[in-house]
Amino acid sequence: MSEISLAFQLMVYGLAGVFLVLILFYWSIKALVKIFPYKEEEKQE
Amino acid sequence: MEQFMQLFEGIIDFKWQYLVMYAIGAVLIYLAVKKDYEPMLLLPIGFGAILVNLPLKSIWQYAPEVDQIATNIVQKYPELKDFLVENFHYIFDSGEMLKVEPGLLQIFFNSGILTEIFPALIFVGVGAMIDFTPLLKNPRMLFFGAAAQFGIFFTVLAALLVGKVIPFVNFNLKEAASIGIIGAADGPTSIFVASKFAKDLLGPISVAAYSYMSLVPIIQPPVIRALTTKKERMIRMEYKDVKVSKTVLILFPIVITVIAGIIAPISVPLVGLLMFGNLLRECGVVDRLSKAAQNELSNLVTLLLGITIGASMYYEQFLKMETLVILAMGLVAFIFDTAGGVLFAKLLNLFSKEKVNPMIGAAGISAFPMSSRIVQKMAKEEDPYNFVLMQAVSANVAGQLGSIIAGAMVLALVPWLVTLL
Repeated sequence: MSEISLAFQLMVYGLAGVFLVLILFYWSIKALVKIFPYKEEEKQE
Repeated sequence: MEQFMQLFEGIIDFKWQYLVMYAIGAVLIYLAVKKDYEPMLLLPIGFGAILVNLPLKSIWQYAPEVDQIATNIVQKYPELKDFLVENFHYIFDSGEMLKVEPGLLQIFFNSGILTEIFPALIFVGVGAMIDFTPLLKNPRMLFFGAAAQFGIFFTVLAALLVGKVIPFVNFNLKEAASIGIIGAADGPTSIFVASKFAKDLLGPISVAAYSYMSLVPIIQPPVIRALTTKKERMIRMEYKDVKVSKTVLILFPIVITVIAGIIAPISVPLVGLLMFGNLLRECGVVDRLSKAAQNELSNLVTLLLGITIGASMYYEQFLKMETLVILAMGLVAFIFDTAGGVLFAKLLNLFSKEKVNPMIGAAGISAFPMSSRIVQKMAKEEDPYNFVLMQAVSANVAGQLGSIIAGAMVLALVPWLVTLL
């Protein structure tokens, strides 16, 4: 397999991997914000 | 007479190429001092480049001395020669083993860069400096942090193609990947990857990474203008000021470390230490450690990192056609990062009811906070009442995560892909 075709594979797998990990980060942020919502008392603290 | 001649060793050893390297070092120092381009790094890099190109290179290594015992061993067991040369600072010359003790900056290089300690420690400081609150308020911006890594992967391809066109330049996949990672717009990640895949290219790659980062205000606006219409640049975005609890701020670095560690274990030295720094900042009980990470640790490591990177710019490694190509590829990487982010935002707009100002996509690169400032400035130029800074900052912070994950992907995928050759 030529290095050029490997670079294409790197682009596909690499970008897919970055999106996959950041999608997981996205859902974990959503979950964290939902599970531990901001309470007004925190402002006073 | 011989001792008298030793006084002039520096003059005898002088090479014209040193003058070129002094000029390059001077340019970097000039850019740092006069233009304020990443002075924290370009200044030590520039001075390091001068230091290592002084005659006899004594800051890098001491003069070779014959080691009779090693010479006898190699004469008896020639198969040990390569092992000694690779692992114990020997060179083999005219049948003799010469011991070359590392000098000050080579010790820093071996113990700080090859072991990844310097870039990793920088991440602790960076983590302690980053406020992830804008991203936690607006996590949708994470996707721009992913899209704006396109330039990295495009540049890997471009670097390999250039090698086919320009004579004397022939990058392999590992070297091309190290060049592509300049597009992470994140110096420590570039150094981290290059120190694993292409140690000889570390100097030009670092110089390109830091130089282009400081040139973001010049590189990004024309690319954004070329890819967007005035109407698109005028899109206003609603900003909801969601409050984030302290618990979320503390749990965020821990959760991210665990996720990244499970999905991309190779990213742990980068993500883990970045998030450790952030935890110091957010937990609120180790203020002294957090401040030490932000100031003393960060400053000290930056200083050592800069001068050590500069010392990797010996003329034999730097004055090559490859260096020019790497500098050009760095520009390609930044251009295509910006384009990737902008085009991704435009793609989202085709399907989304809530339109995104496509310039926000350009802020998805890791160059913080320059990129978000540029986006706000350009938005204001089109519409003085348009305020997109908060969204741009969120995308910019996302870019810092995205670039590290992209670096981890490159580190994980390239060794596997090389086995398919």
